[in-house]
Amino acid sequence: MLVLLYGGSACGKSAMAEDVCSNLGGEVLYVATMRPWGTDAKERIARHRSLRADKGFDTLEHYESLQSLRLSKTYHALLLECVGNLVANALFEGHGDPRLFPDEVLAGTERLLKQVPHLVFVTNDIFSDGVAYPKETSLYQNCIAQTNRWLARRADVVVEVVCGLPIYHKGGGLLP
Amino acid sequence: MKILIVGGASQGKLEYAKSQYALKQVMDGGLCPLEEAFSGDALNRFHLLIHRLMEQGLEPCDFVEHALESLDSWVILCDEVGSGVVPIDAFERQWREQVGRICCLLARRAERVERLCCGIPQRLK
Repeated sequence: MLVLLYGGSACGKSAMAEDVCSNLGGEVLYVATMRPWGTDAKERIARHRSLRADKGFDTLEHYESLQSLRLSKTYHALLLECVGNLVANALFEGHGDPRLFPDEVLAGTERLLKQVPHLVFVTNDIFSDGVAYPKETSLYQNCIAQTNRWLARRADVVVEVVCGLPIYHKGGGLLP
Repeated sequence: MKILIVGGASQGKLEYAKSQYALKQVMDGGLCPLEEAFSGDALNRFHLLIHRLMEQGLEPCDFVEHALESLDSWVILCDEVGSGVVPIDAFERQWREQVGRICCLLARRAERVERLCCGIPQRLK
């Protein structure tokens, strides 16, 4: 099962993703895609680490393409946080070509779905502020939006998270 | 049928509208001549039309109301633009305000209002 959690910053999507994984039971791998650059990022990572501390998840930092992700053991669920960083890494660090989106992410996702029963992906809403960004930024927005739409089409469950509460766009009854 | 389709930028509104409704001619609010904005089967990027009307010193609400008066059916697609920090620039502030208010007005008149999220439609009305 593929679960996509979508929402603005600090809407509670990470905590919900962790709950979903815990409820699914079994071993969980947390895949962190944000490079720890700058104090902001370090603080966010520290906050997320403490949130996960007692949940017994394994953590894997992975900044490359999903296609190159290798699992060292068998997991029941994989929590990826977040799609936005996955896209940013690929776009801005040169190991991805914007023309490959969202195919590359999708291919990576399909590959993982063959290895892990449940994937829980966290992604971002950065599309509703009405700001006309510079070209590079709007390309980034577009790549995330496209990736989100493809993942949402493929997903069994799509949840928009608001104030820590779920709005189910798809598959509401499927989560434990 | 009067239809309003909203959602954040790049959420798949146009693709969805084309798949659901017979749209031969879709006008682009960001590019079309102002007076032709409502002459097609649908108007896309309505938020940009508002911006352009305001740049021309026109009152966007009056313009839109007047244009819709004679139409029995319309399909309007608009980005949701109100969820960022209040813009410092007064014009941008007013634009954002106008887009929000006019969408409320359109939603009241519409028989159907839909919102796209990651390409998935949700019927609000």
